[in-house]
Amino acid sequence: MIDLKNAANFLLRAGVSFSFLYPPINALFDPYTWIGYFPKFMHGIVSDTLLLHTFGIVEVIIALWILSGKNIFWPSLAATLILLAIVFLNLQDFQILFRDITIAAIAFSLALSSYPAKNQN
Amino acid sequence: MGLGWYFYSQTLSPANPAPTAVTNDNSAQNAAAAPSAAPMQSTVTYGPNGFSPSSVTVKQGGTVTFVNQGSGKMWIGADQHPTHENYDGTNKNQHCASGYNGPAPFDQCSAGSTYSFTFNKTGSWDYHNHANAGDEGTIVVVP
Repeated sequence: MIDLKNAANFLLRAGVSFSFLYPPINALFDPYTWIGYFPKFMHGIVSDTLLLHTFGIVEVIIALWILSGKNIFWPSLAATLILLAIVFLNLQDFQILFRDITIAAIAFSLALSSYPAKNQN
Repeated sequence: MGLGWYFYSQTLSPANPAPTAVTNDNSAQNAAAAPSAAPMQSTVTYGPNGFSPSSVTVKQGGTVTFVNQGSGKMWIGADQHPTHENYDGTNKNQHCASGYNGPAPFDQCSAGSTYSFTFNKTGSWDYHNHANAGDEGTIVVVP
């Protein structure tokens, strides 16, 4: 018997995880597409390549953590904030990035649903 | 929070307006435009503050040369980032592929210090630096 609630939660986590796994993987083959989304103030601190792949490692950690389903409040909250930051720092590309608002909402929903029980009530 | 309230308040509206199609209709502009004395050559420099000038006008068939005078990478591409489709309808993966034999794309297709492109289509063409997509400019091509 499939637990529909668990299956739905897994699909939500898989969806958010995919959105954080695809960019760092694709960045290995097409780095400039992703470098272009970093805001101007982040360029020049370290090399663009180092910046891109370091951020990519962070994305992979967040993705795998959310996919694991274990204590995912903080990675889900981080995912929410990262997605919103990407949108608001690249408003000129909102026609492409508007979907990130949707994914951020899903990530925030996961954060709320995994909010540590001791902090509730 | 404010954003959340904005979208929540939208759900309270009886009906959301239908999305407006974004078009780049140059035909009407072409019909209304008269022959101009716009230059056939123009140069745009790129540096820490972006493109300068951010908007230039050239005559149809004119050439714009982009010169990188900063330390950051420059890869000129037609909007929209990252697909670069707005000038000729082909995307970056199509028109930058080896063996592509269509019209010359408004896309540098790699990072470099200079790039020249001849504009044969009238209209207002937005572009950006693919390596720093927040830096944008516009080329206006008149008959």
